[in-house]
Amino acid sequence: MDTGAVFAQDGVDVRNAADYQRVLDSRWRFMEVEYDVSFNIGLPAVAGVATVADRYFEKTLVYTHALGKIPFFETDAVSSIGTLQQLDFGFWSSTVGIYADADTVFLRRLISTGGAVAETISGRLRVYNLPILEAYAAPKTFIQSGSSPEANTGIQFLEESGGVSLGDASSIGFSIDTRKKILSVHRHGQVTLSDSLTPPAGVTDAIFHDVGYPPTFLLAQTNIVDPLAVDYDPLIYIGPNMNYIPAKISSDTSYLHFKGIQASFGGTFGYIILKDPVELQQ
Amino acid sequence: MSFRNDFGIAFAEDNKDMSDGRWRFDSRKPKWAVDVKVDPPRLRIVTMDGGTKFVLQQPPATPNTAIETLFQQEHKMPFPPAFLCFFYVTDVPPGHSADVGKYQNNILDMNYNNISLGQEALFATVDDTNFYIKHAAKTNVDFGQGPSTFSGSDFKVRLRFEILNLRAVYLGRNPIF
Repeated sequence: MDTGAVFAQDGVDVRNAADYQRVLDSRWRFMEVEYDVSFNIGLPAVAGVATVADRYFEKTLVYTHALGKIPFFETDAVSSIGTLQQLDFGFWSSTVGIYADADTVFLRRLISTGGAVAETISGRLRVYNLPILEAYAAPKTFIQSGSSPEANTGIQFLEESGGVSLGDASSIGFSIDTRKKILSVHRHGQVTLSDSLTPPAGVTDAIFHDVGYPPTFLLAQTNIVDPLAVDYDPLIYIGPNMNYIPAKISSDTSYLHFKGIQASFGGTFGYIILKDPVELQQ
Repeated sequence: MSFRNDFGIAFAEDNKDMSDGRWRFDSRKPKWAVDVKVDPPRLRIVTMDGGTKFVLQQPPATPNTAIETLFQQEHKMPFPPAFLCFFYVTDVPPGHSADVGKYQNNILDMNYNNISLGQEALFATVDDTNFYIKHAAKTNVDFGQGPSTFSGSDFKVRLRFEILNLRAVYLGRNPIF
């Protein structure tokens, strides 16, 4: 595409702006919030099943996003009977989790021989306009940044419910503002990782990024190993594990490498590589 | 739709028509952004060590814990803001050499389920007023062999954090206790 729009941060020559200094490039995807909602869901007490073989998952709607694609989302939630321990990385062996499919975000609760007590799950859900499991790579320019005098000119665009006016110096309420740094997406997609010395064919310990420097990134586990073989696949789970990855990460100009802490690290993940460098203070 | 909603800019996906309504960019919707023209700055690189070398008695049954704040900065946002924080390890105590040159986001494991010592970590968190880097440690149980000294300042880290312009979904969490 030869036409479009590019805006750089204030003080950066747009003709020489590095990718991470562009507040808008019409060729790219950004960390764009589609929905931001709170939820408070009561789950009833349920009687246990007769045998373990009769276990099943109960599915309760949290939110209908209707995007038609599995989106990147983040959530954190608490239960009226305690913190949702399953929102740790070990969620696959737990009883309640929060997942997404192409149209909804939902709670899934395991009902086994012990049944389930009544509880209320409450939290916040933010759904993004990013089909994280689809392979996407933004065009890149990767040129060294230049600079120009800071100016009183620039652009601002208002969020729909921002509560500010054009010209305000507020930190919030603007979806584009050349006085700010706007984080854009370099790549997203799905990858199967293993740090095993003998990984399965086609599986590595690394995510390819080619951004040219160690980038910031987000990771979320997908394709849950389901002990009951209940087919909600592909599912995506994003919660605190987005904020904690039980692996040490090394990076070069083209790859992020993962090495498990204490235990081996592996699985299938949705990932987002941002154009934002992990080393630069700009 | 309000009058306000009629203004803005939007882009369709490549080779898609705007009329299909599935746009990749819509200026009415919030984006992750960092205000880089405020004081104190919301995008910083900070060098620090891992804090106090906690000396905790290894109890026979109940773990002992310790926590301290290594860094705090007022965020001046009207809510606890979302953040990204990447810990990059530059130096370590003996036995941790594999950690040098590696990084983790939002939590840095220093000692993870160390059978004779316990757990120790740095983590980022926010509240209504401040952004924090904290250091926590917890002993293991059933290895009551006297006091143990945690790594603390033997870890050297460089961390980069950015405080975003929207409310946090995740406030940060002490991963240890």
